[in-house]
Amino acid sequence: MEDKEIIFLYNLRDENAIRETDKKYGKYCFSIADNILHDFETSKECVNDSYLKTWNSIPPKAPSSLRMFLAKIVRNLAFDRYKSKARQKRGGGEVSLALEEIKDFLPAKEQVETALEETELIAHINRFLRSLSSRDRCIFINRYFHVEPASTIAQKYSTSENNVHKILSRTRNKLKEFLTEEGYTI
Amino acid sequence: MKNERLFELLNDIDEKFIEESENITTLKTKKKNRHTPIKLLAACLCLLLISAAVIGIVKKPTEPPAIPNPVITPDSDNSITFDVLQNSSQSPINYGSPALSSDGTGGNTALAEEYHPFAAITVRLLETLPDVYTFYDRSNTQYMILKMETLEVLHGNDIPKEFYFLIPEGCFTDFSIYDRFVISDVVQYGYDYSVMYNIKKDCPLVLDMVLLGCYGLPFTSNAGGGDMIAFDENGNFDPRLYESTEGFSGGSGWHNEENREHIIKEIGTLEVTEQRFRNNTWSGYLQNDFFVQTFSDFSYKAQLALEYLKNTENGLYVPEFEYYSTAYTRKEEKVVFRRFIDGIPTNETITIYPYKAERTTASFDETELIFPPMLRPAFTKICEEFEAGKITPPHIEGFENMENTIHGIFPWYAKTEEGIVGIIQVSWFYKWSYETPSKNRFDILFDDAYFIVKPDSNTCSPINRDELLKLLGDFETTYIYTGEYDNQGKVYEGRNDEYVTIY
Repeated sequence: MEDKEIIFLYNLRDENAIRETDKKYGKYCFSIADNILHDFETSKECVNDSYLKTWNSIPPKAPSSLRMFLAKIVRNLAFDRYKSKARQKRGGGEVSLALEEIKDFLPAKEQVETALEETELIAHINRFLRSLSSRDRCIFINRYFHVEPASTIAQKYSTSENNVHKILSRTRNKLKEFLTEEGYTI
Repeated sequence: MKNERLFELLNDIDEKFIEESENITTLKTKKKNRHTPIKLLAACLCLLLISAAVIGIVKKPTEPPAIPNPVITPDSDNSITFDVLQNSSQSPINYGSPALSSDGTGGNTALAEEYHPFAAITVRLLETLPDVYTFYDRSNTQYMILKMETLEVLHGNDIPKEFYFLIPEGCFTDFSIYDRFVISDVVQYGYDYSVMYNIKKDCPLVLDMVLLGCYGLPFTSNAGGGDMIAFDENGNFDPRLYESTEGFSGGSGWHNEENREHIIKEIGTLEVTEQRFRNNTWSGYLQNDFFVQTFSDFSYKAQLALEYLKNTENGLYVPEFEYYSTAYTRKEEKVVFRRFIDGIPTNETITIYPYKAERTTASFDETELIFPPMLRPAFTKICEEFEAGKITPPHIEGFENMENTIHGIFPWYAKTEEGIVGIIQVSWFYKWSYETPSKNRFDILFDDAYFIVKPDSNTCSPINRDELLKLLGDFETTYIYTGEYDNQGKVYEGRNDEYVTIY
């Protein structure tokens, strides 16, 4: 079923919308959640909750990309679950590593306090990403949006893991410079 | 923590970048494998987004025109029978302005020898219609409507010289600052006398020309949706269109000199190319393997069906989404039109194929259209009763202890064994939490109830679903749930004895 037809079912409040969403994007959503949570049952529940959130959002929302809409919901929910689990126990995992890598690359809290300031920061990040080459941008997003391990990314781009780390390090430094030039204090 | 905040902020980055990173994965795999597995192709196709834009014709009058309702009595079967054109030199259906053929000549043209699905055209903006519009259905997508003039047909058949063009939300901008546009994957979404709804003025807009748009979810997909590219008066690519909207793809970081020259050279030659935005070119936007649906190809049979569909004082036809799911696969080239009465849908549809037309068993006659049941006041009343808590789910036990997340109330007219009736469906969606050995879980339960309004009546009565289906008999049971119920409401796949789940 095409995305627009599925969204049409949401608008009709037809429960087949959820079934069709699961059929089409269930595995995709699960992979996003599992990349963050690394736990089958929790990832499944996260996907379940994302369907509920989607049902509650459409309408009035009318996403132009159902796939992206779901990806962001699932990622958000998975990260919330991760944070609540992380408070209970410390440990490693890809999310911890990814968080560690980006810990020094965001402006101080007092510079990003209002929703408007946050929107501006996201706009700056988008501009920064636009300025990158396609490969560097995709590697950055594979790592920090999809939370894929460097080894997986290396395989995708037929390069070494070491090279992926170099590209990520270079990109993070560029982001730091970019935001500094925009007036943020990192 | 700062890093957690950045992680969360990355959720709001441009979706194009996320799609790009996912597409790279697919492409890489595709290049490595000699034989692309079906699943991978399906994954690529999953990236295609389809816009179900339905187009109408725009007229300025505030009141609908007084057009008599031409009633065509169908035969005993569901098909409308007409004589097929024997002489191909007879004029094809001529709607709106004369069409341009791909060799640039105007006026009526002979059918092209080769049937091209989608079209690609160069156009100039004539006018931007005021306000914002939606379709007469339950979707919420809003649209701008542009009046365009065709300057050149790059690919396709019988493109009108002037037409209306649909712009979905997400792509709203000031189009008047550009000299011209190249639009790829152009399809027709509506024809003369289709109607859209003006949100601001709360009234219908009857269109007097054909309405075109881009196939797929316009402007947002790199992998096959239609697109719109702007040029300045010197014929140079104008990047402002991409920079000014979220919906137009391909704008970020690739509009350099080399690419502009490349695409300008490409305009005259629509070569299928595997290059895509992610490879930093935009020649991939002009693809010739698509679908155009213009009614000038249609036979006399379809022509008469189209005549039947013209707007009337108390009935109009709106194209349905179904068309798009079949259009892309090219299995069936058809358009489904549903009859509306006073803005309320019915169970009557007419389906137009290139060389035939079919209608549902449900077909309203003149007298039924003059005095239909008073469904609007009944619908208002049902909404009031619902808000007062007087209408509750008939099947779910213990709903009082559950959270009602969503409800819907939907009216339509239906042709039944007893003539025309009004039906109102009330739907519920309950969230039910309970403890499991591992964690709390939510289950989702669905239920619905039906009410009926008969002609010459000012009462709205509850009706059992099975009784309603019996009343409908052989007429279309559109919108009605025909499955089983139990004490948890509607029964659907995935249920088992342990728990109800949607995953």
